Amino acid sequence: MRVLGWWAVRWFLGLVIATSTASAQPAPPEPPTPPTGEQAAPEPAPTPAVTAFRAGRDLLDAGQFEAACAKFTESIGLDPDAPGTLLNLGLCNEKLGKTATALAWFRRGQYRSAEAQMGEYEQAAKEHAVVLAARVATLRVDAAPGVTVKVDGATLSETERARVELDPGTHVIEAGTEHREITVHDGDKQELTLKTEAPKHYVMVDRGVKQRHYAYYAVGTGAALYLASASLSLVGRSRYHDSDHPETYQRWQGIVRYGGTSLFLVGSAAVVGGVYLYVKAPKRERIEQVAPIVARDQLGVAIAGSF
Amino acid sequence: MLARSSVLAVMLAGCDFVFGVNGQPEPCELRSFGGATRTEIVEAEEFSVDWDQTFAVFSQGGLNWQMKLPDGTPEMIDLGVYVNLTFALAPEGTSLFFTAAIEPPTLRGALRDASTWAISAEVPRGTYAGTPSADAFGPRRVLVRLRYELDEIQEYEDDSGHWVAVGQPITVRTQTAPNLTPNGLTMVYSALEPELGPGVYAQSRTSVDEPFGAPVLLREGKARAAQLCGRCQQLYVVGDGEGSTLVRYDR
Repeated sequence: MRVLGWWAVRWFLGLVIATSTASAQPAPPEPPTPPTGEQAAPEPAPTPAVTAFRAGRDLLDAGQFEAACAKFTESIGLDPDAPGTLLNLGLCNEKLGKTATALAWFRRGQYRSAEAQMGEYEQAAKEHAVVLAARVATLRVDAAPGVTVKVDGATLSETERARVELDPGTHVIEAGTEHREITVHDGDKQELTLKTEAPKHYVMVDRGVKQRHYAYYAVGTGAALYLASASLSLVGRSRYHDSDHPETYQRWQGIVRYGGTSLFLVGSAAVVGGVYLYVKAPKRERIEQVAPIVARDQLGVAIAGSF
Repeated sequence: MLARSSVLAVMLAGCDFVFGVNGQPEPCELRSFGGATRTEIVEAEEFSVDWDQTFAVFSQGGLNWQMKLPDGTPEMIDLGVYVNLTFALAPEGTSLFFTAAIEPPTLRGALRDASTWAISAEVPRGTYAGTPSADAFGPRRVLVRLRYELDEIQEYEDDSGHWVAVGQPITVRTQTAPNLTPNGLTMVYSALEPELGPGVYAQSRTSVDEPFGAPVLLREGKARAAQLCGRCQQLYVVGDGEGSTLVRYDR
């Protein structure tokens, strides 16, 4: 990778100088210069990435920009971090008039050069990026949060919609069932408002579950008290009818009257209370999930619901 | 305040009302003792038991005895020189009607004081008396056979120590007098009914002011001195088989 990086730097710098002086005439490729002190060492066999890069350079020099881009793309696929290849991808796309694509490659090359502490590359990439950024066509897409927006089949994140950089030409913008085509030229600043609503995602929220549990407990307690009342009364009735002694059956009458009835009344109160709690408990709600909002003048989240 | 108390009282009267526990005495359910469990207690010719079934007076061999139930030791008691033909203990076990075998048979009464009996109680006019009702249900009632040779049964009520006839005599085909249950609402007797055949019969009424209903056969066959206890769940008789034994039937 280092070899390719070194090669790419030299080629790219040569090209930059040539284009700046010869007005789009690519400079002839300079042969690689081995590092000082290593002249005696045999040159290592080029890697497939280097081979593809060299081919790209040759095509670029020949004015075959599209084919050059293809070779550079092949090379960057094999060595994704090569700053020189990144810059040459920017260059070939710029030659093709793909301003946005070129800008993206130059930015990436700038970042990578900075990371690799390759100051000349970084500077060259930056200069190109500044020029292209001022020229690139941009599109602002206004769409509802949650709506999937695609530009030429590529999905935009909600933050990316504020500024979409486009190559000149016709582009397809999709949002749900909505389908638009726009044509842009360098320097255009367009806005597009999409009316498609976001698909709603609902969640069930049950704020009354605790209250309903209390209701179940109350009704259960009431039922148990009913059972106790009935049991006591049946036992009392049995004892009442089994005794000849007035004091015995009058005692059981009192037990059934005050004990059984009290249990029944308390049980009834528990059942009524339980039913009241159940009826008054908040119902299950179906609410929409929280969705982020990114718009021209706001950033936040939204929640909506219905029941 | 009064209205609130009234509402509370009405509400608290709920379960006893619903379950038929109204505090009023009711006649017990009369059902057959066919198939009931038979338990022999003691050799006896006549007998009577209290309502708790813990105490009995009986005669055996011409002598009078008392014993604690179910398996106490019989103790001889002194009820005079005559042989006694019937016994009828008050439900509380504190007083006793008995008929001395003299000519004519004479109804007598005795009061129990600790372990002895004092023959001094006032008795209604008649020959045989059945077991009376308990004091707890109001003035005590008793059914008395007026004459030895007639089937006329007269009901009496205790009026401050004096027995007062209530209503007109009724005809009950028994050899002695029907026994009342403690609440006075059911009478039971051993009968030699020519139409119904020999057996133990019972008749009930809804209150002491009402006439008794139709007889219900509790147990077929010959028996004497039938007495219902425990809300008609136990039936005591003697002479229902060979010899003369006090027997209890439990259903």
